[in-house]
Amino acid sequence: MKGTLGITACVAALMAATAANAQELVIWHDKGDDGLAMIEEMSALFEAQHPGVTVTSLSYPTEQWFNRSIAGLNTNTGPDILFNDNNRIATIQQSTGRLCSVGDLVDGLPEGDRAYITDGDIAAATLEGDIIMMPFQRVVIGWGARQSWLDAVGEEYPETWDDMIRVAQLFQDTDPDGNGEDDTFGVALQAGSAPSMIGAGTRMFAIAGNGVPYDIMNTDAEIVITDPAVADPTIGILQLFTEHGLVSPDTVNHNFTDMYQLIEGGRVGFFRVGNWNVAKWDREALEGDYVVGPYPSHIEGQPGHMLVNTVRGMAVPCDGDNVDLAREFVSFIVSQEAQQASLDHMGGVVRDDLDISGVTPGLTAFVSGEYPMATDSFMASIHPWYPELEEAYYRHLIDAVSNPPEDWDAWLQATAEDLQNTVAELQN
Amino acid sequence: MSGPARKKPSAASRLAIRIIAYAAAIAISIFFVYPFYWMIVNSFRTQEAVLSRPLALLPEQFDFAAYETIASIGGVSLTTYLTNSLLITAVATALGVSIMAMGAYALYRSPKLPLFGTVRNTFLVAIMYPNMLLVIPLYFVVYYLGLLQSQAGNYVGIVLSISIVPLVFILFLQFFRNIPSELLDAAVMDGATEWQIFRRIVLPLAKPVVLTACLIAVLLNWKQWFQILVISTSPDTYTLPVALLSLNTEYGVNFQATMALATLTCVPVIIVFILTQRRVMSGFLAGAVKG
Amino acid sequence: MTTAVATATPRRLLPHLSRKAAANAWHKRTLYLFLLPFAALTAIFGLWPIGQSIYLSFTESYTALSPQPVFVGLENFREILSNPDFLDSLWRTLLFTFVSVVLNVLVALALAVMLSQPILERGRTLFKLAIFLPVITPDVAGFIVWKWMFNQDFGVVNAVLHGLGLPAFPGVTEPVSAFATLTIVELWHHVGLYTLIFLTNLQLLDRDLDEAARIDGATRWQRFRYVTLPQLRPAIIINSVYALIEFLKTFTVIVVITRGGPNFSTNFVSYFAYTKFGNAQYGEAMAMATVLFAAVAVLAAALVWAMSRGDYR
Repeated sequence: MKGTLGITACVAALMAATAANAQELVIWHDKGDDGLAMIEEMSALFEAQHPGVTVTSLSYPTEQWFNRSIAGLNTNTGPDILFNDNNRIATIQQSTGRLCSVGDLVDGLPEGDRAYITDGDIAAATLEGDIIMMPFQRVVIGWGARQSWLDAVGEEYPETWDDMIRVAQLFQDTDPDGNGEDDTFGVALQAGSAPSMIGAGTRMFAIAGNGVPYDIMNTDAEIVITDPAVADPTIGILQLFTEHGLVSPDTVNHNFTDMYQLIEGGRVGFFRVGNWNVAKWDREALEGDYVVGPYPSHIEGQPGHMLVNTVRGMAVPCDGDNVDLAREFVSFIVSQEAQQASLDHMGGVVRDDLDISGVTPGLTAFVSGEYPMATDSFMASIHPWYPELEEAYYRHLIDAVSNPPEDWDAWLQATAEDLQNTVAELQN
Repeated sequence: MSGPARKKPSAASRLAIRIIAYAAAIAISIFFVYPFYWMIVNSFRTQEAVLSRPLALLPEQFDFAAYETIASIGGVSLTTYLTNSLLITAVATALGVSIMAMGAYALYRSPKLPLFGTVRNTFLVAIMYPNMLLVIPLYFVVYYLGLLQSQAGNYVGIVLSISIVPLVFILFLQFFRNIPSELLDAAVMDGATEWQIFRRIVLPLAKPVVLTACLIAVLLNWKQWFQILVISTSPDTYTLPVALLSLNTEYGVNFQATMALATLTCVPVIIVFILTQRRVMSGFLAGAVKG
Repeated sequence: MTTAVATATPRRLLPHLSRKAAANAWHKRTLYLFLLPFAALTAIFGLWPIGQSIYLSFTESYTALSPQPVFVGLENFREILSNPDFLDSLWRTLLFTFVSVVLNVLVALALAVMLSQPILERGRTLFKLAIFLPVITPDVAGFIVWKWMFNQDFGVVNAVLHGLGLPAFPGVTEPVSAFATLTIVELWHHVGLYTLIFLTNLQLLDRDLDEAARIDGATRWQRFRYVTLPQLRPAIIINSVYALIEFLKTFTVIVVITRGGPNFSTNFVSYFAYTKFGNAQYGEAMAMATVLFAAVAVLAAALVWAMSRGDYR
């Protein structure tokens, strides 16, 4: 044990020594090439104000990012900054407690920058009362359709759920891509895990499509899935698998990567579009052949919304070697020039005073302000056990796909009661 | 060959057996090779083409886009990954096979010595752990060893953590068990030291198995990814398979690039395998004649 | 088998005949030196992290990795063992392992025997290469390929079945067929290694014994059963134990192909535990890992014991 401590001390000393010379900030994320490119550009901008400082980033597969960050923070071998979606940052904080509040930084932002951060952004960045990350990218999600397919079947972008089902049926039954083969599907979904099926499915159509604030549980911890505005899209999505058969049969195991393969392979008509997807889809893969709009609604006469699904931010571990510099960088990312880099590379921002003349057509729908936005209620920020509730709910949902119930309403009622019990257990 | 053949099958039935045997062997081979062939062919086909004609035996046209895409992955050039793969595999194999040969020999020679049984059992128990779940403990261990702070340290950690290949160790244990112990006992009576016995008697006998061990260790080390991913503090120490895995990020899998990188990852190994296979075979034949 | 006993006997007698105590001590010291590097690596990269993860299984999840973990005793174990989802996962893992071990050892033996036939002299190298290729192919890549080959709509498997006039195979879209799919893919990936080991051992066989049996009029099957098979015993043991350990820990194929689905039908323990990391439930994840570890150790020990009774030194 003593030897271990000795080694640890040596390591710490070594690290301190190297840190003093190299003014380098390291950021860990899972955003791939676009994230790397964005931070590279931000680094160049930041260096102009802080000579001799470089900011580099490493992108890991999501699971690896997660495990490494937790292990790294606990051993002081983590990065200077963590960059990810609010829910993931929150989990890191719950497991390590080593992220420092940046509330003072948010308050200390120049007035011109602070004004763009909304209460929703703050709610997303907060865990149990502490603002643990600087929000700088809203992840906005809309619903997309292949434009050429709509043209081929002579339909408009659907505004209601029923219209969408009708058009999806056409996509699937006719040959909208004209390749002479019966190889198309109506809708792309994912159902391989709780985040896939709920986060990218039932939640979207309830909160964005119908504009309700909650999709499983409200702030008073009451299960709301039997509320018609939630029940309709939930049963509707399950029936896409069962009665309608409008999704690929493999969807039961899919996560986002599989879903992208179907979308990018040109085999599906309706699909989720995130503001981070469009750069690639305008450039290659779909080559701009899609239209993005709000989620279709179940409610007569009420249009659907796009959804602010998560907020991405940067968090600073308390015991990093360059905490002060890291905090400066984190304040910098909401500045106009940094936000422009964020927009150009990743599509997500918090400001609305940016130059959008250069954005690709797909991104226009997200930044033009023409569609109403709904915001997720970020229940996991309030109840840390919420992901476990989603896990339990997912088991019900996927079981209903495998063994479709006779009476959906009765099934939903029973599921609601079961989940209410789960909530009671989780609260203890 | 000169033994009395009591019933000799007719020429026709021998031919029939031959044809059936080859047909079976070829069918089985196709089962094993086809996915591999599919991977190579599709590394030259666009994703749209693959999805619309999955069974195509040849690319409609050779599309090298994927190979351009992977020239640099995550800001690191492909040659870095390739160099790492070669370096890590070579060092880990040389080190690992030496360590395992000596260790297995010692355990064979005197299994009853104090602690020897413990080491053997510890090893057997350790390989039973589902090591994918060691993500975090392994990181801590490498941290405590002080190997996270420099790139050189990363390399050392990676090599040490993958050098013990359980299969190879078991192979050695089983091999030594078949050495006639009279041979070694005679040497002991002649006053040879353990080192001399190992060097002069055991190693020459073990030559074929050492070659096999190296072959298996090279092949298995080349495809290692888990420890490398955990220990590397930057993509600069990634090998090809780890690069393959990190193509899978938030932005989805680039299918064609995955196939291209997988193809590049496999080709060197296939070449090594074909080349060393002959040597290993002849080594086996030589060993079999003596044994 | 009798020969093995015969060669072992004089060795046991010999230490009494060895001459000097000093020589004996040096002898042992050398052997300790031989073993030291191996022992050190096993301890550092085997024992240490495993010990740490078992330790984590007794701590409360959110505090598990913090400087002051809260110990909860057997709470995590009680939690998972009372969870029907975990018991279901454990049962599926065991079933999958049993099916896969038996299938892999039998298929590997059959392939090795086939490849060792003189009639296949020509092209044997190629056949061997073919069967071994999946073992050296990076598993992630191989599994991705299979995933697409089993795909319902453009997969090769169904295209071929359709061409032969057979009904479509649901692949990983239905629980039972997903289970079968993983069995096939795992066989494809692993059986080459087991085959190579059998083949190597077949080539090390004592040909005189076989020849003697042949001259004595033993049939092909009798020679295989009573001459070849007993000599292959060490190889069968290696392969079975190795396969058992391998399949109980089945992980990568699930990550790539099914992610535990559909409807949790392939949610084997190592993957189930891994998914717990996603919610930072480290205590429970490590408790699952520990239970799996115990299952592997007990089953492997039982297998070694059962198979090597009689000729195990």
